[in-house]
Parts: sequence; structure tokens; C-alpha cells
Amino acid sequence: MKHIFKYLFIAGILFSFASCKKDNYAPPGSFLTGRLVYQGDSIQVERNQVPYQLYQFGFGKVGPISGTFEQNGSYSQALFDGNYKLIIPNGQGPFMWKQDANGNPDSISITMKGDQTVDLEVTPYYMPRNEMASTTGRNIHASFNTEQIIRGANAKNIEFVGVFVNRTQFVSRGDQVASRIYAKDAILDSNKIEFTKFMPFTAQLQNQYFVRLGIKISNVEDMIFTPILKVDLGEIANYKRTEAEDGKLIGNATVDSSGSPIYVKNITAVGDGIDVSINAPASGTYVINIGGGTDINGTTQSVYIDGNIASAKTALYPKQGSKNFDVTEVLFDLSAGDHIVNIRKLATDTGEANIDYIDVFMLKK
Amino acid sequence: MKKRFSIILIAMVMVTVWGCEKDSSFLDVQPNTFLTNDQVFSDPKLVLSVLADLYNRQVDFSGLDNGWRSFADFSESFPSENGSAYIVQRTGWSYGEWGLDWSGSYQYIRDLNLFLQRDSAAEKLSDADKARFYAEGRFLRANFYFEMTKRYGGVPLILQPLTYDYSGKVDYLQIPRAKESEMYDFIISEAEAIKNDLPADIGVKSRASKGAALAMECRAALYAGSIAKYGATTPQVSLPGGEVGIPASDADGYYTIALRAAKELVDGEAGPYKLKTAPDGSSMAQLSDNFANVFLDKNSPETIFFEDFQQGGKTHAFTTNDQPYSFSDEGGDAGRLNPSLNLAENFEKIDNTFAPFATTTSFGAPIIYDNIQDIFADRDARLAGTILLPGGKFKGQTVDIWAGYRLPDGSIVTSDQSGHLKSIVSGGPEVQVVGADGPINGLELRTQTGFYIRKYLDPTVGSGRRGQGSEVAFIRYRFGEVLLNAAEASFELGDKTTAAMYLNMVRARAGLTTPLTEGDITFDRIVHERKVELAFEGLYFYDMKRWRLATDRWDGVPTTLNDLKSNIGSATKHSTQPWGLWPYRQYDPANPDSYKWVFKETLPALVSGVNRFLLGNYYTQIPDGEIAANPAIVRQPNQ
Repeated sequence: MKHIFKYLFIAGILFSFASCKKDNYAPPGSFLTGRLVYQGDSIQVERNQVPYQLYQFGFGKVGPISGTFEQNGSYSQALFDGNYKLIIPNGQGPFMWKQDANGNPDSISITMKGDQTVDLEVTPYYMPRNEMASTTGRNIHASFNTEQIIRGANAKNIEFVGVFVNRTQFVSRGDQVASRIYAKDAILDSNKIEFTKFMPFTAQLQNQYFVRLGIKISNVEDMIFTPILKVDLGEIANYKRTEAEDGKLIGNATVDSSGSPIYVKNITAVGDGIDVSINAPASGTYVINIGGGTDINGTTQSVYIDGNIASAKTALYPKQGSKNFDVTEVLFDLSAGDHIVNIRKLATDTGEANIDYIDVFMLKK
Repeated sequence: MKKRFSIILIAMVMVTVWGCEKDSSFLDVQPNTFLTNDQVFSDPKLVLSVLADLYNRQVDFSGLDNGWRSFADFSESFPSENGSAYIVQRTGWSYGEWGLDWSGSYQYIRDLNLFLQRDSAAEKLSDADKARFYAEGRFLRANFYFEMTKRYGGVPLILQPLTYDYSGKVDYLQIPRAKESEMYDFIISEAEAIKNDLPADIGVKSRASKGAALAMECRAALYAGSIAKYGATTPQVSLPGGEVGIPASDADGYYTIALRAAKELVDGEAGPYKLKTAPDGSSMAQLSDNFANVFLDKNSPETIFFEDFQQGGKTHAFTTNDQPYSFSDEGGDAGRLNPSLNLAENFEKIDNTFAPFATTTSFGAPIIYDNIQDIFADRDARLAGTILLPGGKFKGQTVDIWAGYRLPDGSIVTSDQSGHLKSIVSGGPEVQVVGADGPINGLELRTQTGFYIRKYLDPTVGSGRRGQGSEVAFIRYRFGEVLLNAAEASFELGDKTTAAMYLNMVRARAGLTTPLTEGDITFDRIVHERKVELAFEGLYFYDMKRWRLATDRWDGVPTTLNDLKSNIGSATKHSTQPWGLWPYRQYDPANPDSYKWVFKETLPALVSGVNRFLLGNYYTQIPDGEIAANPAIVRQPNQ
């Protein structure tokens, strides 16, 4: 009996070894990689949105092997060795792909024999150029030029341009925490386009953001983008908020406590304003964010420190409603210790703004 | 030995004699397990049973037996089932989405073609039966091609059963796609050809009637007209062979047909169809109940053609899946389909203006309501008729929807279990701190938007049980839609006065008694009216497609609170994430406002994706395998 078990055991092991023999084809091992390029510059698109298709003929039914381009315009596909044809389907991508006489996309023949790199030369309608991004305080400034590549019969207009900001390096219209869109009437060919986007002071605090600028072309689904720009907004330190109604009211200024939030209004005449006491724990550059609301385009007020009116800086309030308080930012170098922030309507200022709060913090870069 | 031999001989003779029986009487036995074509097509009852199978194989985009998910999506609702959260977590749709089973569809069309062939060859049926069956078969075929055309544009238009001749050559079976306009022309001409062979009887609702043929013709012509007109705004969505896209010059012709077909129905040529209205002097609540009953009453004069359900035959699980949680007949089986605030705020105020539900003052302070339903007051009666609101009634009882207590400092006391008891302040008595029907973020089968569905929800006792199911019928064509079709066709043909008249008929039933005038009629109005009247009827999606608004509506950009509350009633407003409206109770014993209600717009926590509709989504992808098998089929544009 014992012997039988022993033989069975050995036989079992032999069987299991027998099944270790390879029973299938090798997986595809040749990698086809490459980029979308225009005259050597890679075309930046939105991830997973611009597809390509590979066809291989001679094996019965023909269907495409589909893939999509990465954000930086690159692609990678594992294939068996053999002959393939690559196309980008009609209507995809912010560029023109060659078509044959019947309007079908023209194909590129690729012979795979080991790894291969094939860059796909395409002609974009527009190219973004000279992209730059910088910061002041919590504001992101970005700029770029647009260069129209396709002119003549196939030319298309720009629908809008935009700046998109995200916490991760995936940045597009869909992947973003902040964006600003500028309609086409603000744009001229080859002009420098500048944006400013304020990054609100949120609970999910992050210092580094990723920015891409993009061009949306009329009647073309996919946008073309600049490469990723990384901006560092600096670390926030010594943050403190002071409510405007706790400050010293000057002139006509009065407190409106009829609802929530309570705010300061009637800063109408020259000389009206608020004085707010702050404390700077250390010397350095401080950001003063004023939560202001206005109904009038181009409303400004002047901000200076400790009565030094000669060093006044101008706060420009965005017109978003007199009770819709949005942040306007001014920067000052302060020495350590107590200071007074003076917010005034001076003779050079226009419009009227209500003030809800004053945030003060330091940026460490 | 001799004896045995003779016995064998006798036996052999006997066996041979047996074999002498006549072949015909021996081998020709009537099979008793199936019926032959001749037998079936000689008895009207048997033909009807064949037809019943063909009726049963019709498809709907949203259908009560099609799964509750067929009503979800598009940010019109939130799916409160953990396994379906992908609907709000994806960032778009694949090109193959919304497709039909291609080979199954053509099998069905083949069966329809065979039915028509056999019916026309039948000799023992009376002429009247034969003609009616024939017309019904053609109606089903045309209606099914309509369903295919809505999804794919032009498809191979096969009107004869195809047979393979085993020659090894299949070219003659590889039929190319028809033009999109040819598909619509086919549907319209079929409807015209069969309408007089079908009964003009409003009692016939589960079988094809003259009304059904006209309603199909009206809808098809309207779709074709709008594809022609608005397709011009997206020239990329077309194919050079016309398989997708209709020339803009054809638009007026189609609108004229749509209006003519609608007028025939309005004039009673197919029977006295009319809107189901509440008696004069009804309250808003009664008007809402009346609107909900349009979808429950099988004898409603408004219903033209429906898919019927009956105990003993087939029933459906719509009520089981979507009933409010605490009302569930089946333990926790409930609450999956939650209409979104995006949809709810579209129901206008009774003075014909649009406004979001007022939750905060202009200072940002919450507005306090005495009763939970006050925030919904003075709205279109269809709001409460379509959506089960917080404080609304189902089966005579009030749904318990509220998200928690709001303390004076703005903090919230709630729980992660529905109907949970807890102390509001430490050491205080334990009280219920959240509604038994939700909302709680991430807690499935209870509402997560603050709303439940009311349209099609069956209040019959036991209809929410899995084993029993609901008998409520799914309405495929109804008179209310015909009126809106007529309004749209009139508007597009430049006759705003008539458009206003038709719109006002539908709106008056909903308590919007201030009539719209000619000057009020805009494209946005037409879009809006169809959105609120026809919500959850499987028509909204095709409206967005045929007007080419889908790429604006679902543009892939997250929906902010500000987006949500502005531009209500605008046709191009984007709506990519389903928001909710959560009621909270005030808790502040020192204050007279304690236990009153405040509301907060809330994006359910599971919503992480956005709806993005690509140009390639306008026409569903034809499977690659089908194109490989039939190279005559051209691919859809932008895919």
C-alpha cells in the first residue's frame, strides 16, 4: 500500500513536469514606439484622446489594433514581427493627417523586426510657441505665442485658448483644478498671449502645480497643448486672516452686518478706507490678500504699510458682484514686528469696492 | 430439427408481411412537437403568437425590462449602486457604446422578412387578418430600422430574407449601408403605406395601430429634419456617401412631413387621442399626480403604443430597483436611480421663468424654510410628477429624505447609516439624525442626490417584490410627445404661433397656465420643453444627438456649482456631473428657526468622472468584426 502511494506521488510529479512545457505562442516582443512631430517638435495632446490604428493583413479578418497617444505625443505598442500599416483615423488630433483620393486616411507601412522607433510627421493647424510660466504670490502667470501653420483652403480659426492647472502632471480640460479660457477675439496670430490665474488658498494645500496652455481650434475636437510647465508657488507660512469689520474704519466706511458675511462698505470718497493691524513674526516678503467685491469694472484701491503713502501699491478688484468677495493680492517686504496695513481710496483710484477680510501670509521659496 | 426449421420459416414470412404495409401510412406521421409554416399561417391565433414573439424582440434605448441603468447616465441621474458607480466615474464613452447586438438585430430583421413573406403567401387566412398582420410586421420592421438608424445612421437596408447558396461566394450578401436619409425615407414611406391597414382604435395600445404608425412617422421625420438642419453645424459628422448626415436642403421637407403626421393624430384621424388631464381646478399636487398617472394608467387616452407587462406573462423590476429604501418590498433592494439636481432645477417656476432652487441669500447665508417642500413650491407640476422629492409621498406615505442636523456654527451632525439614532450634542437624548431614505455619501440603494424617481414607479402593493414585479407598461409613443413634435416642426418651419399653441397644450396640463406667446418661442424653449416633459423616457439622448448638442452638453469639463446654477434653460448649457440637493434640519433650540430646513447643493462623493461626448460618439461604432466580414460597410466618421 505504501509503495502504491510512493509510485503515485512520483507519477504525479512527472505529470506536473510534463505540463511545464510551453504550450503557447511567445507574447509579442517587438516594441513600436515614436512620437507625433512637426519639424522635429513634438505635438502635445490630451492623454487617451487621440487614437491611432495598426492593421496587419494576411490573417483572415482584418481589424485594427488601437491605441492612443500619451500627453507628450508619444506612443508605444508591443507587436509581433511582421508588416503593419498605421493610420490616424479621420477627424482625430489637432493636426492634418494625409488622406487618399477617397478621403480615407493614408497609411504608413511599418515592417517590424525587433524594436522600432517611428516618428509620425503631422501638420498641426497651430503650434504653441515660447511658452513660459512664472508666479507672484499665489498668482500664476503664463504666456505663449500661437503660430498658424496651415493656411489657405484648409486653415481653421482658433475657438479659444486656455490655461489649465492641475496638481498632477496630467493637465487638460478634463484634468484640472483651475483653468481660464480666453475667447478667440482676444487672440491674434503670433501675438503673445498672457494669462494670470490666481490659485485660491484651499485646504488641499500644494505648492507645486503643473501648467499647460492649450489652443482649441474651431471644428477640431482635440486641443493642442504646450509641454508641461511646473510652477512653484512657495510654501505658505504665518497665515492669518483678519475680518475687515475688526479693523479701524476711516471716513465714510461703515460695517454692513445685515447678513453673512459681515463686511465693510461705503468706501466711496477719497480718503475712505480701513486700517488693519497685523504682526509679522519674521522679516520677509508678505502676501496681502484682500477679499473685495465690486460691481464696477476696473475698481482699484491703494494699499500701503504704516502710513507710508509713497510706497502705495494698487489693488485691482475683479468685477464679480459687490458681495461676491474674491481675492486681490499685493506683496510687501515687511520687517519683523507689528504693522498697520492701510487700505485707502486715493485720488488715483476709481470705482467702489466692499471689503470682507484681509489675509496675510509669507511665502517661502 | 425439421419442426424448428418450419417455425423459423413461419416467423420470416410474418416479418416480411409486416413490411408490406404502405409506406405513406407508416412513415408519414404528423409531428406533434412543432407546427409547420402552412399550419401556422392558416390560423390567425397561431400567426398572432408568432407576431407576439416579434413584438417582444423590439428594442428600446431605455426600457423597463432593459435594466434600470438604461435610464441612468448623462448626468440626469446618479446611480446609487456600488457596482454601477463607473457611470459617474468614467470620463467618456467608448465608440461602441449604445450599440445593438448587430448579428442578433439582423437575425430579427430576417425573421421579420420571413414573417412578411409567409404571411403574404398564406392562403387560408382571411384578407382582413392577412392585411393587418402584414402591416404589423412592416411596422415592427420599420420601427426596428428606426432604432438602428438612431444609433448607427444608415445601415444595410434588407427587405427580403437572404439565403446563402453554398457557392463559396458571398458578394451578393455583402450589402452596403444605405444613406441615412434613405433610412428615414423608408420609415416614413412604410408608415404611410400601412397606416390604413392598421386599426384606428385608441384601445389598441400593445399592438400596432394607425396612431402608432403616424407617431413613428412623425418622430422619424422630425429626427431626419433636425439631423439635416443641425448637422450643418458639425460638418465633420458626415460621410461622403451619405451613410451619416443628411443634406441641409432636405430639412424643411422632413419638418413638413412631421407636422402633417402630427396633425393627422391631433385631428383624431387615428382615434380620439388626447392629453390625460386632471379636472379643472385641480391643485398643483393633483396635477403632479395626474402627470405621474400618465405612465401608470394603461387606459390613458394619451398612450399610443406601449410595451405591456402583465402578471402571468412578463413583468419588470423597475419598481424593485428604484423604490425608496424604507418602502422596499424586498429588504434592501431599492433606490438605484436618483434624478440629479441638474435635471430638477430645469423645471421652471409657474410664471414661466427659470431659477435654481434658492438655497442661499446673496450674502451666502442659508435660506431657512419652514417645511421641507417649500423650496419646491410654485414649480412646474411635472417636477413632483417626475421626481419623488424630499417630503413627497409614495404609497400614501412620506419619504424620509434629509441629510442631518445643521448646528448654529454651521457644523453638521449626521451618520453613516440611514435612519440612525444619535445624540446631537454630547450627553443629549438620542434622536434620528439622518433620513431613513438617505442621503448619505457612498451608501448605496438610498438616494445620494436627495431625489428618487417617480415616473414609472409602481405604487401597486407587491410591485416591488422580486418574484412578483411590476405591471406598469413602457410607453413608446404618446400623444404628449406628438404635440411637442408638432411644436418643434412648426417652429422650424417658421410658424411660431402654432408652435406656441402646441407647447401651451402640454404646459397647461402641468399647471403652467400663463401661455407662451409667439415672442417666447425660441430653440432653447423647444429643447427645454422636451427635456422636462420627456425625462426618463429614452428620448433625451437622441434629442441631444440629433440637435448636435451632445458635444456642448457633455463637454468633458467638470460642472461647478456656479455652472449648475447659471444659464438654466439654455440649450448649450453643459452638464457633466450629477449634483444633488441635500436637505438639513436646523438645530438651535434657543432660536425659533430650530427644526426648520436648509438646503445645500452637493456633488455626491462618488462622482469623480465627467461626461465627455466626442464627435465620434454621435454614431455608434459598427463592430470591426462586421466590417471585416462585410467590407462594403464603411466606418463611422471620427472613429
